[in-house]
Amino acid sequence: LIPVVGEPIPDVELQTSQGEPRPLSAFLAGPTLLIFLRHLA
Amino acid sequence: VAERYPEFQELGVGVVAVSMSRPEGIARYLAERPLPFPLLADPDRRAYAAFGLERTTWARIARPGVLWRYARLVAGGAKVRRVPEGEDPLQTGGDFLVDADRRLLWAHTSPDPTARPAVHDLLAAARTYPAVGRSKSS
Repeated sequence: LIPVVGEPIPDVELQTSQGEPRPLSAFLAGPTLLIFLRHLA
Repeated sequence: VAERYPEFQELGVGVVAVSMSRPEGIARYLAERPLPFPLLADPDRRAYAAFGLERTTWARIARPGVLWRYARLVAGGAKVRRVPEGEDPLQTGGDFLVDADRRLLWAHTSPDPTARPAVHDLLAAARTYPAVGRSKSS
């Protein structure tokens, strides 16, 4: 499901640079800008 | 965004970046260029898909308007380089502002690779939401 403004975002699983799986929610202590990159500049 | 990260901090807004690179690639990148915010890996692009970020097409990239913006970027000093291993040149990116309750406040998905908001646009978006200002006083 695509997120809709006003609705909760999905708590997807990501990996740290050490390869540890972590839920996105672990990084959301408050209002947060999520940037999905096309590539590492 | 990294250069203007203090302005996001001033607003009480955190920043999290997500890359389709593998964790090893991100570790190498961070070793050379540390960031003041988390850079996370999504090599399977499940998070990209969950946020509605799709692959574009070469036909869309080859449209005159997109090529013109690329030309302007190169003329402005941007370097042309090979796509790093594990990255997909057709994957689109996006920017999402969420509040402390994980509700989506604002979203910008990019229909083509060059259609990304500037940092001042991201800051402007953040300033328009009362939920953002709340965190500053807490």
